[in-house]
Amino acid sequence: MIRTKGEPGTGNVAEAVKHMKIVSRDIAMLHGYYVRGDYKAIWVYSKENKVPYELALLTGRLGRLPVVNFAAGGIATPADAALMMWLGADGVFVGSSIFKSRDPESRARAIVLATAFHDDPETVVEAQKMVSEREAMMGIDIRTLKPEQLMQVRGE
Amino acid sequence: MGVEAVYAKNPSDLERVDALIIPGGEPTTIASLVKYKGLAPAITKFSEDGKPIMGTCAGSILLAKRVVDRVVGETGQFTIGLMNISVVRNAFGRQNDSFEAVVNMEGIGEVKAAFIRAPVINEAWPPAKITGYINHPVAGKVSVSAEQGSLIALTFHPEITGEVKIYRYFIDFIRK
Repeated sequence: MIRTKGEPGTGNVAEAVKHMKIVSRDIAMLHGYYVRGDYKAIWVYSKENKVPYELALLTGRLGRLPVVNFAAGGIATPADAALMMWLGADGVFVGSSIFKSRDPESRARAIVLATAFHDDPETVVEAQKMVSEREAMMGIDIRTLKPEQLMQVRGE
Repeated sequence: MGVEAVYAKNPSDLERVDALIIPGGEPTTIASLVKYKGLAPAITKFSEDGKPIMGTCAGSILLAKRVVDRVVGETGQFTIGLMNISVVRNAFGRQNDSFEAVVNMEGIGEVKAAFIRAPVINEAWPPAKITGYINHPVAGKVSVSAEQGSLIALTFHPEITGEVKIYRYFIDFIRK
């Protein structure tokens, strides 16, 4: 499995959304190459992104990642979790948003519900009503983080 | 395989399907969603109507009347409890102790199976009966599948190994 990482500890899902969209866009692109039989474009993509050609080809053929992808980083509410599922994640990882909230138990339950029923807007609304904005973790504003504090660029 | 697979997440979804597979996952999480959506009475009714249900891994726990954990003993966790079987959670140990093995199943033959933090069936009483065993280097000879009428419990994941024999066998239940 892999994880698409946003900016953890912030309670701000925007970065996770951005990364998920990039991943989905590239998968769609590879799938398009595959359908058209444009193996040269897949080869160029694999060189540019330093990934094995076979993996890029497999992703193009499947039209999805060959392993499950969990979205993480900044998912703080049931609606955030449903959004990430809607954008194509196979699941979500939620850490500090539950454990640093003041309602961890009901928040965990609500996030599980919203993730499982992400394609059912009424249930997502019910899940969202199980938690209160006021009990959410106090997030960190990403704009106040210094470049060296950003988690998402680690390893680059 | 000549069948269409759809998700059944709400009681009303069961009206549109001929058979149900309760998949693997984390059984208390699945149970909390089953309770939230009022699926337990709907699944019980589905079974009483003679429609086949197969529970795999965590799904077998949801079908069991009784659940114990290898380490903590009685779990008292919620199950749908349709089958006369008792199941031991995490019977082989932790995630790291997961493995693949060949199971010789009654009426099906040899199937390749993935045991992922899998349970085992430690007891089955009529009308349920054990239909498959494995010999595990640590756990010894343990029961890993059971049947009761049109209900099947498998403590492993058949979908990961690409094994289709079990699904053919299960689909035949619909036609009976």
